[in-house]
Parts: sequence; C-alpha cells; structure tokens
Amino acid sequence: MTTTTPPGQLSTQLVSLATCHETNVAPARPGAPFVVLAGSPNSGKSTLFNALTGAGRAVANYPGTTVEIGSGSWQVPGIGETCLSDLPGTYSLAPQSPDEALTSQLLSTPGLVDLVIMVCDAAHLGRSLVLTAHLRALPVRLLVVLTMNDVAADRGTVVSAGALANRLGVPVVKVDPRRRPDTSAIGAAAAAALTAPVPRPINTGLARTCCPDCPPDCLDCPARILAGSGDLDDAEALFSWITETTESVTTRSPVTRRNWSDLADRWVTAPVIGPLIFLAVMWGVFQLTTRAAAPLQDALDALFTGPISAGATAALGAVGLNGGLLEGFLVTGLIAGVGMLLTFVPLMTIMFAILALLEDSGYLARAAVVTDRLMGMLGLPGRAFLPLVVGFGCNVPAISAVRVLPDARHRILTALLVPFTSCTARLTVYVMVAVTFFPDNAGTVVFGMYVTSILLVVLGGLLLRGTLFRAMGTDPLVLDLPPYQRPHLRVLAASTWLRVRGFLQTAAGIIVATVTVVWLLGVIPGPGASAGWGQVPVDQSLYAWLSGQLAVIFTPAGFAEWHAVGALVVGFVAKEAVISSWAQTYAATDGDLVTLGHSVLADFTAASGGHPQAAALAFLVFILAYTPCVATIAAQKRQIGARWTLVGVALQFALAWLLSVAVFQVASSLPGLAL
Amino acid sequence: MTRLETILDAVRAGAGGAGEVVRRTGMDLDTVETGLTMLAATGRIRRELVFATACVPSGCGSCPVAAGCAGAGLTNGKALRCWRPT
Repeated sequence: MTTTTPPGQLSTQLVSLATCHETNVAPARPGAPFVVLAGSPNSGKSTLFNALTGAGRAVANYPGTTVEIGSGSWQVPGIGETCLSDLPGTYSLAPQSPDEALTSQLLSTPGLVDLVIMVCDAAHLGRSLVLTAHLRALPVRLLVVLTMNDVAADRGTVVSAGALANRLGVPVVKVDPRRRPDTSAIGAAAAAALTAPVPRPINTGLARTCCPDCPPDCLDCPARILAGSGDLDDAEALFSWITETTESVTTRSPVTRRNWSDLADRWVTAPVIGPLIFLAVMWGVFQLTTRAAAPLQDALDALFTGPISAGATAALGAVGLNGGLLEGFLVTGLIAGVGMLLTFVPLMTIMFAILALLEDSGYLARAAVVTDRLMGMLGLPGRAFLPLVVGFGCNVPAISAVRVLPDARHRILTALLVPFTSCTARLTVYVMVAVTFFPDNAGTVVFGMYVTSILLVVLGGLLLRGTLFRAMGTDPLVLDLPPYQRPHLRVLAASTWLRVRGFLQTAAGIIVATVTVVWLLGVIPGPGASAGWGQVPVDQSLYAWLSGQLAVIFTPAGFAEWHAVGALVVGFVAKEAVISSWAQTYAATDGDLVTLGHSVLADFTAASGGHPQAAALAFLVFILAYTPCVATIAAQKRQIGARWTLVGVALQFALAWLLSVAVFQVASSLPGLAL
Repeated sequence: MTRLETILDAVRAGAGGAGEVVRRTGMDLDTVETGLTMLAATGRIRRELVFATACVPSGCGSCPVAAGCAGAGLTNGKALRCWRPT
C-alpha cells in the first residue's frame, strides 16, 4: 500500500479537530490511511459510517468553514487502522453549496485521499452515477458500495454488482446498512483497493468531448468537471454514458411494480385532488385536536381555578398577606391569566404531535407542492410559499425567511403577506371562542379560520400584485420530494417537545409581563370610579375605561365591548395574551373556563344586539387579520424597512376592520346564526 | 430536442415535482432525477433548500430560516430541496 504525505497531513488535521472539540473519540493515529465516504444525501452513507466505525464519530467543522465532517477510526483487515471520514452529501463534483465545495475539493485534489468509498443508492442508480462518473474521470482509488438494494427490489429493479464493477473498472460491494451490513466484505474490498495501484480513469462520456485519449494523470477532465461546464453537449454525453450503464447493469421485472409512495403521490400532489386531500387532512387535524384536548383542558382548568388558586390564597393567608394587592396579583393576575393559557398546553401538544407526524412521514413536503402550485396558478411568486408555510407555525421566522427571495419586491410582497398566515398563537383564541360560541362545530370553525387565512394570503397577494407589484414574474421550481416513511417516535417526541417548550417560554416570559401590566391597569381607578387603588371593581378600572374608549370603533363589527377590545390591544404584544387578559378581567367574578365562556357569551350577546355568534365570527376574523405581534413587526422592519412595515400594519388593521364588519353584517342577517 | 433539454423545458414550465416531470416527459423517474442532477452540474438549474420541514442536516449556516428559528421549534431531520432554472 502506498500512502502519500498529504493524506497523512489531512488525517492529522482531522485528529486535531476531534481533540479540539473534546469528543473523546480519537479518529485515528496520525498518518493512518485516509479513507472517505462519498455519495449523495440520504444514500445510507452515515449509516454505513456508523457500521464501519462502531458509531465512534467525532464531528468537527472543517478549518475555515462551517461544514461539519464526521470522522472515526476503521480497522481494515490486513491494513490496520484507517481514518474514515463521512463527507457531506453531494450529487456531483460541480459544487452548489459550501459543503459540496469542500467535498469536491477533497475528492479532486490529487493524492489527498487514499481511498474513496462511493456509496451508490441502487434505488436511484442513475443519480448516484453522476458523482461516480466524475470520480472515475479522476485518478483516485475507488470502491463502490451499493446500498438501498431492498428499496430498488421493491421497485422491481436489481442491480448487478459484477456488471457494474466491469463497467466502472473498480470493485463493487452490495450492502444494506440498515440490516447489519457485512462489513467484512467491505473491509476485504477496501484492503484490496488500498494495496492496488491507482486505477486508470475511464472514458465516462465527458472525456469524449474533453480528451478522448484521457491519460491517467489527466488534469483537464477534473478542471472541466469542477468548473461546472455549462456545455450541454458535455452533459448530454455523460448522461448517455450513465443511461447506458444503468441499462446494462440492471434487470427489471417484466411488470415493474410502482411503489406505494409513487402511487400515493399521484393523488396527493395531483392538481385538483391534492388540495382537497390537503384540506381534508387539515380539517381532521383540527377536529382531532379540539375533541381530544377538551377533557385534558378541563382538568387543567379545574386544577388552576381550584386547588392551585385556593392553595395560593391559603398560603398568603398563613403569612398574613391575604386580601391585599399581592393576593389580587397572584390569584386574579398570574394564576388566572397564565394558568388559563397553560390549559391550552394539551391542545398545543396534540396539534404539534400531529403536525410532527405529518412532517416526519413526508406528507408536509407534499402539502408544500400543493401550496406552491396554487400560488403559481394565481400568479404569485412560487418561492414565496416557503415563508408563507413557515408562517403557519410562527410569523417571526417566516418573515426572516423572505431573505431567500432574490428580488426586493418579492421580499416586500411576501413579508406583507406573512402576517395573514395564522400562527399557532392565534390557535388558542380560535379554540376558546369556537368552543364557547360553536360548541358542536368547534373543530370546523377553527379549520375555517385556517382556510380564511389561506384565502387572505391569496386575495391579499392578488390585490398587491394588481396594484403595487405589477409585472412581477413567477419562479418555477421542481420539488425534490423525499419518499414517505414510517414516522420515528424519537423524532416526533423531540419535535413536539421543542414546540411545546416554545409555547411555554412565551407563557413564562412575555405573557407574565403582559399579565402584570393588565393587572396594574386593572387596579388603577378609571375616571368616575367608585373606589380607590386596589379596591376598584375591574369594570371601573383604568383598563376598562381605556378599552371602552376604543370599543366604539367596533360597534359595526358587533363586539364593541371593553373586555374584547382590551384583549385585542394586549394581543398586539402576543396573541396568546388575548386569552390571559380575558381570564384576568373576568377572574374577579368568574372562576373556571366554562363560567368564563358564559360571561364572554353574555357580553357578546349584549354588544351585538342578540347576534353573539355573528360577533364571535367577526372577532375571530379580526384576530386573524389585524396587526401582528410586536416581534413580527420588528422582524418586518429588519427585512423590509420601517416604511413598508408601517404600510403593512395600516393595511392589515384596515382590512381586518373591514372584514370583521362585513362578516358581522352578513352573518347577523342569517337566521341560522341567531341564538 | 435532447432528453436534457426536454427535462429543462419541463422545469422551466413549472413542473411541481420530479413526478410531474416524469408525467410531462414520459421518462422514468431515475432518468429524470439523473437529468436534473446533470443539469445542475452544468449550471442550467440549481438545487437549493426551499422549505425546512425540519433543521438542515448540514447545520444552521445553510438554513434560510435560522435567524428566527427559536419561535418555530424546528427539529433535526429533513429539509426539502427543489430544482430551479437559473
């Protein structure tokens, strides 16, 4: 075996990297043969790496980059210890990202690597052969490992390792890393390859137009490949070589079975059926969420309004602090406000778990295709669907995501539309109002809010494109869909927990602050109050007075009522605060969730002239469309500037008001919606 | 028209996924995926992350939503990529 100096240096570099990160995994002794695993993403490279090294992985950033490389020690029979590195996945040596550039650089630098183990996905052999063909045009030792043979077999395709080895002129080993791969076969093949001379590069089609008599030390081909030649003739030649290779090394069943993932995609991403399936799935999500969470929510509510409130009161009484401002702040402020919000934890947990399930199974990727096509049909920029979809989780990262749009007008347009996507914070309000006013159809009402949200995005987009953003082209794309897979419990649990934790952090941070301010305004007497500081009834407080002054604006919308309007004002801080402020302002007279609901219903009935459900719908539409939370506005200002942010805030408020008035006026005229 | 040009046309026409390119061109999926990879290597189209259904395996540096990620609670797992004409 011949080991050149540069690989030794690189091995040493990787050893030192691991030491720097104190992973306690020394990849290999300095100077050990340097072996790398290359291949496309999701080809089974990392699974194979773990099998070969016993999962002894040291992960470190490659010097001067943010690219992570995993390395470990691999004992090769007859050779001894080698340094095995798991390079970032890449499809070719023409890099498109920093990690691909690093992989490309490592693989194409003469003499750097002692052996390249090219992991080829048998289920996508043609795609894997692009990188393989590039590598075979270079003077490197190559061992091809075929993975995903079971998936290929399911599709009726069998790849012959022998035929492929003959075609490529390098050894080929078949394994299935997910089922205890035969590492001894790979080890034996690696040992043979490491001790053999560097194989002569072969003519892979690219060389037909590059240098027909390609010598072993050819530098033209690598340079041409790395430059990412724009010559379509070159690409066509290589494409033909790959196609010929694929055809000559695979046998297909006479009747090729379509795998169930492809069959499902024919329906799930179909132009008409796809959106209908998407809507049905989302309707099911909200039905399941609202129905399954109800008993848990009631139990938590009983806990906060019962034992916890009573315990806090008793504890304060024991130290002589009952009956004062402190008790008021603790019981009717913190416990009522934050506690009410916490009753939504089961609901959020169930919903996040279902979304994680859809995400991990691969369905959400299909939903993105459906959304993208819908937007494209309406003439909206295809790329904008990314931030808009993210916006259904939280508007703040969605606004940040507009950075991916290259055109400034696209960024502004999308940032203006994102607040119309219904973030999960608004879900708590939807559920509270829907359960109170539409107890038999709560899930459908919540689902309706999400459909309304999509309609607002579409209509808002069309409106803006027809006025401020004319002559803006669309940007077609082809989505690279992952196959469906069985969801992993660990991934589901981690995803759900991270999101629930985010919800709890909001409740523990900004909501506590909001609750404190609302409580403070609630104990300060308003003009004409009959009692002083701390003694004033909440409906005579400064909070009630200020909210009442603004309430007149909402008379045509049917909810000109100070509790509701006050909640909308604090909802500007965070939408979850709508619930906590209601809980606080009703807490003096009402105890649990059911009683609170009755009080809200009574106030809406009075404010709407006997049309509480129409007023509730108007209120929900206003919550959906009006000014987003302060964090979203701050993100908007960062991305599109103060002027456009102000335009957006004004537009949203005006649109929300107009829509809520329209909804109330129409709905209140429908006899079916009158109590 | 060559096969690569046919695939490129389908991308430019806004096919929603590789499956749709298959339907439009009549080629099999592996050929289409290979063609897309080839076209990306020539710079005719580019492959990029468009939608993080979860954190990108290559780390936050290449994630388009990293800046505001705290609110989204995205987890480790998959990222959705797409091919676009350049």
